[in-house]
Amino acid sequence: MFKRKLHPLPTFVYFVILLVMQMWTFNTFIIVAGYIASVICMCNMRGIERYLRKLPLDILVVAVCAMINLVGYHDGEHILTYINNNAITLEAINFGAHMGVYFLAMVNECLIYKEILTEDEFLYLFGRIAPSASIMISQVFRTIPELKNDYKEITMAAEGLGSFGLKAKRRNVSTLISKSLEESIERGELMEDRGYGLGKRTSYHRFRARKRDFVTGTIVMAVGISLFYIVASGKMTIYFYPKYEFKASYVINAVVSVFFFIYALFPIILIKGVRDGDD
Amino acid sequence: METIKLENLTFTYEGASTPTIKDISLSIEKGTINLILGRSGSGKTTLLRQFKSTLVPNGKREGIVIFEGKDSKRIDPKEEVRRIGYVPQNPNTAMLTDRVYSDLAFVPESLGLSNNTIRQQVAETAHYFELDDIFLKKTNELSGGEKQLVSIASAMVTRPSVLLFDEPTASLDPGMAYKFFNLIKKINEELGTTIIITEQRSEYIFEMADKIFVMDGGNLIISGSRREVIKQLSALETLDGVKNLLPTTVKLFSKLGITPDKCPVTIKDARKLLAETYAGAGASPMAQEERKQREQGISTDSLKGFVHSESIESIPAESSTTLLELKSVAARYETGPEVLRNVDLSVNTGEVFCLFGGNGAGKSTIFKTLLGQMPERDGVVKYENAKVRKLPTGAGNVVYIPQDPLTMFTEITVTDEIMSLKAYGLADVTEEEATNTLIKYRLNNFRDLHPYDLSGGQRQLLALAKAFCLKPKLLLMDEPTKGMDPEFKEELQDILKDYVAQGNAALIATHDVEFSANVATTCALLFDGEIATTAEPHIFFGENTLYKTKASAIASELLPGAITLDEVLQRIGEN
Repeated sequence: MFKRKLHPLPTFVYFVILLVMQMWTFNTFIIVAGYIASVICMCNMRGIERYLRKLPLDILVVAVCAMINLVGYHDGEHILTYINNNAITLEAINFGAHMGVYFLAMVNECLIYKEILTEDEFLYLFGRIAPSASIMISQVFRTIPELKNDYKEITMAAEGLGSFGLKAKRRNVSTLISKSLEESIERGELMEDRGYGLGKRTSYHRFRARKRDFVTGTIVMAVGISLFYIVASGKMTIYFYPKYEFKASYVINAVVSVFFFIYALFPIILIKGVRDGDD
Repeated sequence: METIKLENLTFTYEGASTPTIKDISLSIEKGTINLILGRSGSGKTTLLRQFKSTLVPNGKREGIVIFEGKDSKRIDPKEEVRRIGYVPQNPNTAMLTDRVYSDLAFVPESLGLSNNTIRQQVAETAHYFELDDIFLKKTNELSGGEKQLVSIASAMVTRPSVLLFDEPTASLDPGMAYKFFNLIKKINEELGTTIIITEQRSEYIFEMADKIFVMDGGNLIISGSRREVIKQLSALETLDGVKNLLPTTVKLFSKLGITPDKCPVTIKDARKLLAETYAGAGASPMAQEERKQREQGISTDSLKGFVHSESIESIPAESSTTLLELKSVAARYETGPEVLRNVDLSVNTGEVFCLFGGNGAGKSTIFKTLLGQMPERDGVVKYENAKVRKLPTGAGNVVYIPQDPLTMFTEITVTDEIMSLKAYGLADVTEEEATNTLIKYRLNNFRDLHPYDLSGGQRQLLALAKAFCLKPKLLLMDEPTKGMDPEFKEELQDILKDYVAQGNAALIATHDVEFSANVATTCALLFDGEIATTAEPHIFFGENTLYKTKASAIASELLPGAITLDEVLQRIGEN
């Protein structure tokens, strides 16, 4: 079946809930579930080989995070040894490892988000809030590659006259500034000519919400709210110092995490939509 | 019915002492194509800007502008934005946003229309202008022609009744310009949009225009139909520069002594008239002999006897040495296929080598490769018989002039631009030499202006002046005639001929057929990453059916081998 891509708004809400949940709970189960789910999504997107190649780096990141935390924190019950009169504790290593896994999960999730949400979808989200800001961002998106390209041309023009070296570079930057200022004036005139500033702007977008978007949106919101409720009630609370322990029973933690794990696998459905569309 | 009417309009720029346009009265009929013709600095852009109040520059305006029966001061600004569209000169700055579709939506967004209305308008416009393939593309990935197309489409989204164009083809190659004018014609015919357009080159557009206004020195000197303008312009005793704005066909026949009311405007008519009038010329023994030889595929040398052109009588072969040689040069960017696959070419002293090729054929890439700007390259580049990785640039060696002269300017006045060469240790230029150079390039009257305030052609001349102060042996030029009016172009031709005659050489990437026919000693076509053809211009423009000069398009049947206007005139004279 051909699955269509989701509307940007529920997609955005989904990712906000996903990230906030991990940040807020910092619960072992949730973080690990989030990491595994993000890896599955990444493998789905880019293939398993790329993940396997990256795996040593992931382990290194966790190890480094654990090391750094170990140097800075000396609290905790289980003291392994002393270095320079500072305690090296199991709890500090544990917390550092959590940080590492959490960091990796976040990075993966942001990459997935970037993959799903294109530039114009991002602009659309912005345009809903502030139409003029969205026009500005759209112009920034255009200007940056343009400046890069102009700088290359200016450098070539200067070198073509035999002007090299550090001082020449400085002059090139000055030429770049004059040229882009000049062009901004022309653009400003054209914007005015095209009616900019004549009243309230609207922001055109190509996205129309369908029934499916409302359904998915509702599911996302429902799951989000129930997760929030559970977390707010303190059931997922976890302590690292002085002793690593969970406030609620492991069973409750595990059940909620499975729930969260399935939630975190959502991008497969969302991404699948894009992929099938390409085929 | 008239759409726009100007009554006694005078406009003076802020801070200027004299008005730029003086006491102009004219009326624009609904649904017509109107051409404002004039040299650089004649005030045609200033005149065009009076038609829409958002475009009027800072300054003092006297007189009135009436749009559809109403004083333009009393028209609702939103209404004006909706009813009058404007397409600016520079397609790069015409792109306001990052995506094609958001650029199309700019005007309706500004007018605060609903998403559904915008969707409908944008869709119809994109479809009409055949933008389907580039609709979702990023604007800075478009080619010059595509940008120009998008900028017309953006101006047409709200179905304006009047469309203003400011030299829209200045940065397009002739083929694209032709397509572009046909599009304008289509808009005018199918949608009934009134078109007002300023131009320096009147080829193509002249034959489409219903009414033509000729500006000079801020005055509207002539206005009327094509025929009337030809008549009145030919009757002028002075102002050769203005007469130069007429299309080649008219120039040719008025020089042949045909009366203005019989002068053909289109190539088709011109060919016919020439055949009728000079039927005898084609039958002359010389022409017959030549035709026979051409059919047998005779080399350039034997043609020389028949073609009387300055360009062909270049430096004798003995004294000319190879200055630049490329052997099997290939280049590509980090990613993507090879842009250049197998380029072989050599430029000798005394040679003007013109390189043709479509957009994206890799003409600019050759320069990038020669200047060491391509990340990946292969093959051999020899300069003065020595292998080099990149050409030695600077005084007395190679100098490169980019397509956009603005990238060359570092100073705040024209004089400083020249003197900066000394200040930065690039060349030894004295004040006197600088002044002489400025006089030579007709820039002395503008010496205290900011380079950005010069017209397109003048900017190009300043870039040339800067380059020639370095006394280069080899000049690399990328599209030097872009945006130049015919007068400047002739000047550039003379300068170049003079320069190579002193034992130097030039390698020019260009689209400009007429210019090359006048100045080139060798022409080459770059296609599919290789040099596909190299030939002397008379062969190049003769055999190659796509690259034809106006003169050869008119006269090739009758006078094969004549590719410039002067040659046609000379040959007709002889016969």
